[in-house]
Amino acid sequence: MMDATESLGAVIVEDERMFSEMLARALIDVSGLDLMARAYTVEEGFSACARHRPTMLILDLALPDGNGLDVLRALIADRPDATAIVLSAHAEDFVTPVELENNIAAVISKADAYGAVNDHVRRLVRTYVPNVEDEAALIDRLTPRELEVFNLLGEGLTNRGIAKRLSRSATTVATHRKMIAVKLRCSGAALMAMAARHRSHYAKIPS
Amino acid sequence: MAEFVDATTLVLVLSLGTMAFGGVAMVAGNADDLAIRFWSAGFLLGGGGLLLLLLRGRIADVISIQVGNTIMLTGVGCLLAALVVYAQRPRFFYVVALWFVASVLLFNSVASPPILAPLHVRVLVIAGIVALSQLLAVVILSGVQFRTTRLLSVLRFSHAALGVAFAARFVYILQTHTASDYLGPYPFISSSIPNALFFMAAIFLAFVQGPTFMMLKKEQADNEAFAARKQLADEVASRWAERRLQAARLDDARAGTIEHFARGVAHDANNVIGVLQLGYGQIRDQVKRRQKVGTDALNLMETALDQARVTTSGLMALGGKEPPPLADVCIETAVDEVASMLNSTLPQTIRLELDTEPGLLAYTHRGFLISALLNLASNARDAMPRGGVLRLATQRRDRLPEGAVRIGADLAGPMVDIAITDNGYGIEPEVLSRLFRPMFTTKEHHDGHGYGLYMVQGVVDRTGAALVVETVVGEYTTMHFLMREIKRG
Repeated sequence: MMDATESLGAVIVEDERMFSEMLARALIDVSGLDLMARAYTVEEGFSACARHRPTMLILDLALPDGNGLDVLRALIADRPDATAIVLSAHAEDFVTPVELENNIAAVISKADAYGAVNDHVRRLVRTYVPNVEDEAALIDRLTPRELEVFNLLGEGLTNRGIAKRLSRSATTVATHRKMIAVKLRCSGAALMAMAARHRSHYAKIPS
Repeated sequence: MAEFVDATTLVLVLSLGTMAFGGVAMVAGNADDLAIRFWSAGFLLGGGGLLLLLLRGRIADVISIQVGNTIMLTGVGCLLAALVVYAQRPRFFYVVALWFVASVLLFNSVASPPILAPLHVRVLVIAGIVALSQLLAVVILSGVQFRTTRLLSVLRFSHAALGVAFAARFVYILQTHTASDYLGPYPFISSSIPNALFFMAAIFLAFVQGPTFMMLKKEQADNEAFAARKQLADEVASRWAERRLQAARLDDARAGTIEHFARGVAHDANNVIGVLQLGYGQIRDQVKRRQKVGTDALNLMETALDQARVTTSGLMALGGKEPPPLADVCIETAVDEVASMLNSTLPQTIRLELDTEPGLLAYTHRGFLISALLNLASNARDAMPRGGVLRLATQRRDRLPEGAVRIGADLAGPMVDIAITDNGYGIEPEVLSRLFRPMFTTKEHHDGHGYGLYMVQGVVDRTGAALVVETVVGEYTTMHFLMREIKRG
């Protein structure tokens, strides 16, 4: 796990388990985000905040034992700089309470979660942890051909192996690899490690 | 003029005319109306008194002078009383009574021994008294508060004119010390044109007053009838308005229920859409980045779709005029399906326990049943925010179980019981009574909950099932979903 200064600690508070799991998976490749825990109720939210002291909450409003905003209020009492992304089935009707105006970064409709959460979380990561490179954003700049090569690098293949798999010449693969190194701003072992992370996409998500 | 009218004829005309008015008013007027009774009595008595005066010399003087004038003055008093009643100024009764008593005493003491005043003094006294009475009438009529017409001015003017006539006669007698004896041997008032004018004025004004007052009473009655009709119309209108208001309130309540329902369904749909949307986004990015597509995401999406299917199936249970097609349903597989869906939706803090009796068959609707069971299970989950055990148990029963609340059919005989138990809060007694209302929710933000049990009730009603709620506050809640059992074979 990364040091707290190098990552943005986050807790998901959401009572619909499927949604919560999906959300955790969707955020797994966000570099600089440290998903610390998932809570299903207000009470679990309180204890997760007390234990992990996250900087960010991804928060559902309607929980079985109360209002999700109470979790945010409790966290702010401990960490006034804490921020939250509010998830709501009724994002259109949500009115931000005045005292939480500085702590709610975004209100997102659940039906529009993937793009919106990704955008907001990445923006918050850039704000809170400016020196972390957004790997996914870098990787998105690769061409399809380069992505192919990058993935095979992740499998641990050499230039020659990749050339054979793709029926290309080794020089072509080497050229791709150079471009990849430029685009991803790293090379050698670091590049290999990044490729491996990319391929084995699924780290374990917190329960 | 003096050659063809004489005082006796004029007084006779006045007397008979006023009695005719009084008689008509008494016979035709509203007997319940105090003003009309006073008015008719006043004219009859006034006319009668005058008649007695005319008979002076032919009957005893006491009857003609004392009794006749007293009756005449009583008539005038009655007329004043009628005006007081009409003008709705009851305080003037005292003034009228004072005038009447004083007048009768004054006249009778002047006309009787030891004073035994001569004719012109008696006429002088009467003229003064009557002039005063007309002044009183004008004062009474000037204080009318209600809306009226020109008729009132006519009446007031006639009283004023009559008062002036009597006052003129008073002054005239005071100056000449004579009052023509209209019962003298000479029938013509050749010597006294003022006398003739006075009597004609008296007749004219009395004949004006009679019909004017009756018309005023008619006008007043019309006004009252109009007011009563208006009040009735207002009451009817306000009753209609009240009814419209009630209908509007009912519409509001209905709209509120629909709104609540719609929000609830939208909330659940949004959760499903959210899961699908997240899964779609991930898979799209994985494909774009040439990564392997995660089967976990696909599995979650499948569960979300299952849930959506079950929810819509449950919603279908609420509508439709035709009874749903019921069939023999294998309870074990239905409960297994519910359990597998719960396995991927319950938080890890809640443990699912299954205790199913194999081989049970029930007569029900599979889709509706699963939807009802999932709803009950989701309530059970929400009753245990700190985690706990959710137990799904099936068994055969011969009688309905005991419970705090029962809805649905009064089943008897062999039945299948699917019991969903949580060891959460339990349900408070005051909550139990409202449990199956569509808007009801214990959840703080009413954010898309509270239609679940209403939907369960729809399933219970439409599949001929029963639901028994068994609960102990702070310990557990068991929802028994009961259906008629079908024997295998």
